[in-house]
Amino acid sequence: MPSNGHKYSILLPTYNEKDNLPIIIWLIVKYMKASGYEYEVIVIDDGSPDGTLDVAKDLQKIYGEDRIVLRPRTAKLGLGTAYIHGIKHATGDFIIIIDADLSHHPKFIPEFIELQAKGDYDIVSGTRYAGDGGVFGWDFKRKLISRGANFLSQILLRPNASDLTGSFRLYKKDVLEKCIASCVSKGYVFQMEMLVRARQHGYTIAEVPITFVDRIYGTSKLGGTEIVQFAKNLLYLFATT
Amino acid sequence: MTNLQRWLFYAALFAVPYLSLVLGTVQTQLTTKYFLFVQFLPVLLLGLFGIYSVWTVLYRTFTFNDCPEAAKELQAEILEARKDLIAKGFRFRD
Repeated sequence: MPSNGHKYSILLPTYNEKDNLPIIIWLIVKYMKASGYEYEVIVIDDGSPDGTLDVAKDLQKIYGEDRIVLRPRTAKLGLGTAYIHGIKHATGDFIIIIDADLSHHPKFIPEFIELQAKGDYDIVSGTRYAGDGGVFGWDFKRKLISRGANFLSQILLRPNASDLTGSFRLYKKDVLEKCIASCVSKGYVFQMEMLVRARQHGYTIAEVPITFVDRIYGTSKLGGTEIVQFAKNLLYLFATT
Repeated sequence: MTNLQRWLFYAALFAVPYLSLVLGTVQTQLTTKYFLFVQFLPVLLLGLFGIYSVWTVLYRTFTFNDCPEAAKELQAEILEARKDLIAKGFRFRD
């Protein structure tokens, strides 16, 4: 398949991902190479104590400095600023954000790109809640909380997307910049606010069903504080958008 | 209009005729005959919405796709990746 004249910058924020990083990069290279699209991977490591950056340097030696770009920061500064930091150095006109913990499979990236090109969408968002999308590794309680939170946010925020808290997405570069600039929340609710802001700006959103495989290495995080934070942000967005 | 304003707007659209009926400002034969029903209308509507919500969330929870193939595929690819990366001279730190 030939390149389509666009370049895709894949942003990979990491914190203590020494085990997952080599695998996710190997998978990205495998599927991007097969698709033929022009791309680069930008690793934004927030000073991981486990040596993620050294792993990234080794991978850069294998895959080349034009494919693997390292833009580390000295401390953990949050997801929104990690994206801004990554965008500043991105040479592509499209940005893809993906989690480095292997819960998102890079095999879906070519699907994102094809769907975006088909309708010239501003954003393509991966969804676990529609079509063949789904999750692996969640028990009943986790599914119930997830579905409940999703239902509530659909009712209160009426976004144009079925998966608000997912973080596997493709954005036009300027669209991502604008959405981040209008976001006020931090942490994982940030992803939800991004799509709400996108709706406010009138951006078009398309969706690709994805399978979400919950962390194979390391532990997944969903505790009381996350739920409280989610509820607070949901109400804030409900009242202000 | 924010979402909150939109909800308040709809609530007002409902509250004005509702209160005028309940407080007796407006009286019709029909609403007088079913006055008890009219009085409890908000509770009834809330109850119905509650049932709809619980049913929807439970239905979606039970039909939430499990993806065992996706996990299996990933596990296989992880092994393949490790082999290939080691062959390329990469050293895993585990």
